[in-house]
Amino acid sequence: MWRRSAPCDASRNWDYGMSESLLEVRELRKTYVKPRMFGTGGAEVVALRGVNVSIARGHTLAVVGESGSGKSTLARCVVQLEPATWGQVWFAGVELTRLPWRQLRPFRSRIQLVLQGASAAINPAFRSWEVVAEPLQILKRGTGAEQKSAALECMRQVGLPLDLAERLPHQLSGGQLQRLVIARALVLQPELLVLDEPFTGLDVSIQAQIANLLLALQRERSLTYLLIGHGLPMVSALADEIAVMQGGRIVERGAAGSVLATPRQGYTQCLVSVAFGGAAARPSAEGSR
Amino acid sequence: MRFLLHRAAQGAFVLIAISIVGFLLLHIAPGEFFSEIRLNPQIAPATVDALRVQYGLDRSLPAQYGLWLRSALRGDFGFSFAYNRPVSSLLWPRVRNTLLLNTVALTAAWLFALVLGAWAAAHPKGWADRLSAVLTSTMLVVPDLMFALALLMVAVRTRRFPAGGMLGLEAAEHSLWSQAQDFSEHLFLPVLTIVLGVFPILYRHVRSSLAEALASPFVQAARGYGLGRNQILFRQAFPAAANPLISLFGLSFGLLLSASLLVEVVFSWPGLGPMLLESILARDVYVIVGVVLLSAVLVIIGNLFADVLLYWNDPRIRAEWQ
Amino acid sequence: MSPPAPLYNDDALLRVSDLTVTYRPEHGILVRGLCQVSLAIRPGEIVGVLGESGSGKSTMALAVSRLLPAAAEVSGGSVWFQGVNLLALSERAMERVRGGRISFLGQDPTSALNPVLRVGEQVRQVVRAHSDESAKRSRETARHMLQQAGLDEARHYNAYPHQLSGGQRQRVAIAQALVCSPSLLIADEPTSLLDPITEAGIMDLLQRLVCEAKTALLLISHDPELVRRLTARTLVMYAGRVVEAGPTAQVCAFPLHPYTSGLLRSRPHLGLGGKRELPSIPGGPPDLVRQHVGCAFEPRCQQRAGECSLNDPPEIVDVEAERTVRCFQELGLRDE
Repeated sequence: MWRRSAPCDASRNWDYGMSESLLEVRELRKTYVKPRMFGTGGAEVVALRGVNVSIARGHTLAVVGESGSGKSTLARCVVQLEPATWGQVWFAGVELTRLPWRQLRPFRSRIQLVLQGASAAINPAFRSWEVVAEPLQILKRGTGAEQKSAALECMRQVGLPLDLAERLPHQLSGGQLQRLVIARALVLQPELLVLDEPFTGLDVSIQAQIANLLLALQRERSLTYLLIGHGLPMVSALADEIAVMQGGRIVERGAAGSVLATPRQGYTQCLVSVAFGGAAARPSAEGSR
Repeated sequence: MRFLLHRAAQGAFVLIAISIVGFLLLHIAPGEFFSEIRLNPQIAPATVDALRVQYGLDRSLPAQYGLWLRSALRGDFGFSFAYNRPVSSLLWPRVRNTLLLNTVALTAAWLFALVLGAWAAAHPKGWADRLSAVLTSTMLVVPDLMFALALLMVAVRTRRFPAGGMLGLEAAEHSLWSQAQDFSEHLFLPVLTIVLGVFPILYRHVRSSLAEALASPFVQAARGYGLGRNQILFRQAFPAAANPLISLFGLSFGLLLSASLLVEVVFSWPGLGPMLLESILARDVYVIVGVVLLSAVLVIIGNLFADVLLYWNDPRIRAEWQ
Repeated sequence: MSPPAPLYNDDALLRVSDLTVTYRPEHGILVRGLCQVSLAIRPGEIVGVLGESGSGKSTMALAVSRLLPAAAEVSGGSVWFQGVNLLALSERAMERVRGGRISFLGQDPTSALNPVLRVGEQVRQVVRAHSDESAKRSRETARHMLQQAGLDEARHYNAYPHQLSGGQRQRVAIAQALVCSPSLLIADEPTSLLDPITEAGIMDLLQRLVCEAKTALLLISHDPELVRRLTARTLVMYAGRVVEAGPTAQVCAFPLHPYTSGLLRSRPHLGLGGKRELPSIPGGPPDLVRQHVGCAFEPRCQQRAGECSLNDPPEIVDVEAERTVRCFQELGLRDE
């Protein structure tokens, strides 16, 4: 597949304490062009306007923002599912955005994307253990029996009872599906997990269980998380750093504690006050949301 | 507007392609118009050759096609060898008759399909639903030709219906009213045959689209707001189910046309069908191409109509084009 | 919630008594969706139902509006609304009740709207279903309601659902639900698919509209925060039964049932420190297919004892505090 590496300004030197960060995103920009039927060009949608983040190994960065702020686009560009229009993504000191498709292969197992479990992320015809073993099958690692035992081991680690291994996805509950998707992401032993809204749609008590699971896994396997979410409460129990996105930009960023205690930017203040139970203090938000 | 132009351009393209394919296929088929005359020992080969030159059959294929295309663009579709008349004058009256038959059959088939399909979807697993399922399965299996022949036999045996043709022999001499009566008697059996062939497909699609719409969440929500059954069926389910049905409407033009060609031959209905058959047997090149093209035009117009309806009905398609 | 004994004095708008709903799916095993659920709502009151997926909360909402799927049937109990037995009404009479007197607001605004009809038209259809207003008047009513729901009616009346955001679609659904001024609105997880700021806006809207029109609201949710903020009384459901009920402030401050307290604690409070493990209830929602002996919550309960797995726990009622709990080990009622 032909892939153009994203242009960037190589002369600028970003001071990010590069040696410890596992993931670095510099000036990432992404513009979608909605194609027209005739001719070239079309309506442009700017999803990301120069995003800079970095995550140290073993840490969790939570990115929160409303729908349409570009969070999911950020996730997809980091995982190299989509090419960025501009900017760089560095992983463990290697610039991923400059690599051609083939050379990305070894990195694919080191960075994994976890989507919402209940969405179309799971093939409904596969049994649960097959869903987890699928990445191994695609990368052709190990024999069939080895793949199955690796899959079962991952299922055990995420707390799925083994008698669910032969069930079909539609027979599992929302929380179990989310665990399944996490197990599938773990089977390749990644270093970085990008989680796109893992809590949305789940009951509050199950959200707490998933959050605890993610915390435990992070400790056991020194995983690094890029967590994309809607709301602050769940994220506050997991994040070391919080970044707030609005309109394709990061409008506030800092250590979790300080962002929550003293939010500086208007949108963040709104989020915090809503999370604490206050009203949505944005008059312009009425009617347009 | 852009939408229409786009579709019309596609249509023109298709027509040209069809004419080329028609030409090609004809020349692949063995023999030509003069093959049979050649077999007649009383006619000298030189005469045949001279005739061939006169009709332009000695030139190469692309040359023949080029000639034809040039005159077609001027409206002259060539000359029929068999009838010794311009193709256009031969075909227009036939087109009118075929159109008549098809329009009536199309309307009848869709009306029945819509009414029965809606009833079955609104009362799933009721007696009407089950009965229709069995009947339509049977109708699907039986070939059109059998229906046609069976009905023809009924006509002959019972003498209640004329056994073919479009108008009675003394038609022109009677009043307008009895002419109309006569015409509809002749029309009934061919239309019935076509409808029997096409109805099961239409019915099934109507039923399944409506059933799907009735099972969707917004219908559930509408029930929650207290909308009555009829209101839900006509004002919520039908508009939502319209998309696939409109596409099917476009497709049904083509279906009906093919079915009608056969039926016309069996019932001696003076439309394009018998003409096509004769000209194929006689290798009357330009007539064949003319008929094929005309059929294609009818189908394309039908599909264009359906596309416009789709555009008008579904706001999401409109959004894509703006 | 009023205990069964003395109270048929009815000032209650809706009274559900001992409602039991069973499901009979194709393979024939009877599953109990609801088991002896009782509930009463007074006019203008906001009552919350708290529970997870599978607790039966949605089943109860559907049972009250008689919108249960074909596989489910009401096998016991009664539902009285404004003095009328809803379970005995014909379907046509029920159609008049729905929307006009009891309205239903669902979770997913996207699938609740017809994609090929304009939103204003969809609101208007509800008006037409319940009144004989002329086309022009019903359009006016629909416009007015959309405006009330916080949408710009000039711009949005003729919009299609796909042109609106999730929050706006939910506002349309709210307009549809309230346009005929029902006496009771049942909202089943109305904001669980929306982002927090939109959710706050929608809940503010609901609260305002419901208070202005003095409509009673039955708010069903899995989020204890939402229920705590808005409701006057709360019921907690688990595995098809009501396990606790009482005034919201009391239930949230002093939960009596171990499930309630576990639920309240698993939602993290922002002020309480950073990265940490959250208290959570182990295990998952019960499998309603298997017949359970004893308390359904027992396998996940921290306070379980021997008798919990042997018998159904009884319901303990404190009439004065208006609280009930269904537990052997309840956390404190007996001490009062």
